[in-house]
Amino acid sequence: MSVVEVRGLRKDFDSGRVHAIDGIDLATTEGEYLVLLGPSGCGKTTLLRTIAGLEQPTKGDVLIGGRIVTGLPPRARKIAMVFQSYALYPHKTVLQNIVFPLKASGGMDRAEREQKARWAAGLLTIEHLLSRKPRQLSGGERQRVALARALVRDPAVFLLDEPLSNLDAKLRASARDELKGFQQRVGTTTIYVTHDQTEAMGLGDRIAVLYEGRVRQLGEPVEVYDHPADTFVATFIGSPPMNLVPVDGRLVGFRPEHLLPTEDVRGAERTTMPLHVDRIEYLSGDRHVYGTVTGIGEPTRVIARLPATVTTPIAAGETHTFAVGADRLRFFDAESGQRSTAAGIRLGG
Amino acid sequence: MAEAVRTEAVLPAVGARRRLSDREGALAWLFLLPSVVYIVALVALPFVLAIGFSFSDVTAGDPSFDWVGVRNYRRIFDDPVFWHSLQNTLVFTAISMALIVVFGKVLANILVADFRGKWLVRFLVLLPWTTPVALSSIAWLWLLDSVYSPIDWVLRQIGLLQTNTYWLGRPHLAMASVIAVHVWRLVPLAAVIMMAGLVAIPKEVQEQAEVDGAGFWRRMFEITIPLTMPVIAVAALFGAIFTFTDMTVVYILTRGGPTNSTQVLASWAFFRGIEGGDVAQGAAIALFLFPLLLAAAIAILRAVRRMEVL
Repeated sequence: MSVVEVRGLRKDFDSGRVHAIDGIDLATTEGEYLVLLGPSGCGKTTLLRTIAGLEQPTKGDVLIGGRIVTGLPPRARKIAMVFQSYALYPHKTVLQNIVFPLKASGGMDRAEREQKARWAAGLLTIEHLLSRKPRQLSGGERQRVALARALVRDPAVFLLDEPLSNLDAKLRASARDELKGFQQRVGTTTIYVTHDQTEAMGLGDRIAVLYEGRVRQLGEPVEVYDHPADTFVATFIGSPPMNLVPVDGRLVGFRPEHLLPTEDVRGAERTTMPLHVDRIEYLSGDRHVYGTVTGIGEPTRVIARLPATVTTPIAAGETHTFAVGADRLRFFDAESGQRSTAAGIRLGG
Repeated sequence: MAEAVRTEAVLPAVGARRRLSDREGALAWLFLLPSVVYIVALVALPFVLAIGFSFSDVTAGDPSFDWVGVRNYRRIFDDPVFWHSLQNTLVFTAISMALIVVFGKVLANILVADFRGKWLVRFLVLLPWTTPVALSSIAWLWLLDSVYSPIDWVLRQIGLLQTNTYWLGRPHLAMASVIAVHVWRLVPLAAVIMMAGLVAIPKEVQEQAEVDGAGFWRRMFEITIPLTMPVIAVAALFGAIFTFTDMTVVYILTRGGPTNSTQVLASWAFFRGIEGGDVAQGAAIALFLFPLLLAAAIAILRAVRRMEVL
């Protein structure tokens, strides 16, 4: 039985003019970390809010623990949510913040509540902050308080809405690491919304890539990265994005890190192509080579990412022969953008 | 070096003269002057005059100033009507303030809700506040008329009443009527102030409380009210000040009657000082409004500062 499941979910806004969610079926497995990834406006936050009960779906059902909860208010759903802003209660101390969900759901006396809150605070190492007010906390501390508050209710599922986007870049990496460690310790099923592919790849057991209200691909990070279901997923995930070269009504895709100078591509099966280099960027040890490939299909601007271990001299303004291992090539239908096969394609190189 | 020379050569062409608009010190005085004149002429001067008058024997017929010490104060302390007015003022203010806050809060909640025709409801709600007090008080005078009151008529039609009520003719009913009119005209202001406070609460905080399992009342008392407390305080104090200092409603509805049962400090000072001609005693009575207003002003400023901290 899945912890959270949505069936045929649709959500329209503006009396049907906007389809925020356009028919989504999705189910989590016990204890999994599911990431909803997509650009802004793709419906990921609406999906999360619908699961939480803050939005009512136009059609379809939400199931939590196998029970249909569509139409039930958030408090009847055994969920905990962490908002982007953390939404701590500014007038309450950290302890009062953490205790609040227990107080609201009732059935626990004062001492029990406080004990539970201290347990959660201990798990997130914020015991020393319990008497502070939220405005006296740093961004990272606020995140932990929000997590502790989510934790005390023993929810069936954590719903996290871009919890890292309010932190500065330096803090984000460590907060991400902490978040993952936290979830592994408590083992609670988690649905995590983000537009940041690095967070998605780093945190998710599985990633659901959303675009225009639909799930474009659902799979493990490796699968989504290596075998994108369509050109949207191929170009949305990966930095720089996958190169797509039009060949005979099809698109041939290859990741920038697989486009290397011929002498650096091992294996007999490879496709070579001349690359006219017009610019090189040197980014954290890698060389990003911008240029135009010819010879395999229509001339197309591509990016090659050369790791520090590749030392072949490349200069702007020159044409150099690059190659991609045959097993690294992906094929898409030019019309629909859907994944297809290599059948019937003749690559010029 | 060459750079510096060129800059110097260019400078005069741009305009080296200091214009009035560059002299911030002078401008500050210029712009502040109207409000300084206004406050001095219409607030400070009358206030000082009132203090002076209260220690004098100035009357409408004999405006010459003679020092009489605390004689006026001794006389008003001996006057039971003064004590009754003071008590009425405090009672009216306290009850009105409480009702204004409660109804204002309810109304504010209705006004922030999203529904069809919201603008019309908001417009109608604000009308009592925009109507001049004198006009709306006259309208209420008619509504509460001893013979032709439409309120009585409706109550008679539905069988709740046999005879007329004499809203303004019986002491307790008259007091209730005055309070009702105060509440009616000040609730819209309080509602709009509190609405601004409600709108300022981040939506995510409300939703978080909902997800955390809090129902409507718990959200109201544990989240909304504490977070809007400074704004509620401002609304309450505005209500209090307007009720406390107002004499129009009493003057038009009851003239302080029947037998001074609705007399308040402001109206009593007016009857004594202006209609009765004893300016000195009127001034002494009116000065009793000051300590409470001062306390209210301090409380408002404190509430506003707390709002900034939050």
